Amino acid sequence: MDTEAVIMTVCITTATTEPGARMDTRFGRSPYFTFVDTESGEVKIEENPFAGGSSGVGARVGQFIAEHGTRALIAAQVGPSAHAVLEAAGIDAYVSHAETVHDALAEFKEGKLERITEPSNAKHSGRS
Amino acid sequence: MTIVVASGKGGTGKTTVSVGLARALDAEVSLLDCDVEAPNTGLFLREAGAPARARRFTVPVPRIDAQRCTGCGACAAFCAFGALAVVRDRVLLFEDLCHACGGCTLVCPTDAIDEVPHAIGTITITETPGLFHVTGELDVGQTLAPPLIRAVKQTVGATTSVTIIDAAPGTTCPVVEAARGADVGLLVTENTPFGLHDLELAAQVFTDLEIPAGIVVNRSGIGYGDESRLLEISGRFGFPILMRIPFSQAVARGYADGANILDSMPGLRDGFARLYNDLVRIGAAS
Repeated sequence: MDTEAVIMTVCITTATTEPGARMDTRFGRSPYFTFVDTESGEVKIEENPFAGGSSGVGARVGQFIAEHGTRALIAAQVGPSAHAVLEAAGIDAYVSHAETVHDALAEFKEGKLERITEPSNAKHSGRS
Repeated sequence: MTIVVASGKGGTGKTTVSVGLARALDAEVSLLDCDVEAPNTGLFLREAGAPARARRFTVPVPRIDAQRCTGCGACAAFCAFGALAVVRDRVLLFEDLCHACGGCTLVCPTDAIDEVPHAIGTITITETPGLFHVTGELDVGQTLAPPLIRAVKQTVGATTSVTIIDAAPGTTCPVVEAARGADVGLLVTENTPFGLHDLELAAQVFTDLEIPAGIVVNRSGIGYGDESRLLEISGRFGFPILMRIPFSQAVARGYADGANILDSMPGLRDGFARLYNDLVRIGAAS
């Protein structure tokens, strides 16, 4: 996909909002998500309501970002349940290890990011 | 009369005591192995050739009728375990997260969900003279212990007068589920820092469950130089020390060969009989 040209909502995992938004290395338990509308440039940072959950988090967070109209996700990794939900939702996931949300978004727009094609780890369920 | 054998710390000798007690009693006993993640009572009972029957244990999980489903998301919103996700009007089910509560089937506004059995483990019954032995075992990869434990507890021999439940180590949901409803508890410990630390936790659980209990000190003689801390715990919770099984290399060697404690220390038979009488007394007193 030509990421620069397509208009969409991009979601980036976000660890902190002050002083500048930094990327979080987790997906399901990332404390915040930054949603960027690539057309209007509008940026929304939202708290992840499932961040403190003990189990079943990945799928719920996948659904949560899908409900925000996300078309592309930028994350360091994605777990198996989340991966299944993202696939079903038609959300493309891209891997980035950038420090800031700003840098991650820039990498994305420059088409530098690779797709995440597989979940990070094997399925495990229940409380761990 | 139902006795639940628990411990707190793992490896203190719950199974040793459950099996010893079951074999020492002159009664029709049901021995229920409720350590469903790693049942091991069978290792110490001579059951080769005894009639055994096994059945698969299932829990009901949702099945979504795609024709009736409108993608409203009510089921996913209700699920407390994140086992359902709704994206693009399609429902995704994560079976291994499902706790079989049935809630999604109730909240679906279009009746699109029914329940189908999902096998998560096996219940095996082996009968030898005087002993009705039931083992619950979760399949590898499954974690939903409580429903299987409940099913094992409902599997008691028709002529049983004494039921002994071998619980899992620790103080988590499986232990609470195994213990719930028992007449009396037996906490097996060792006189070591970890043993006593976890004995305290287990004693608190039994207090919260309002189950009176007694204490068995296994491998007595090792660990702390005296029993002052142990006695303090016993006194504080009102759980008397009912039996001390001395540390013995002969028992350890026998254990490694699959011998049970009565094989290695036949003199304990009387001790277990007295232990049973004490447990009856404790159970009746509360």
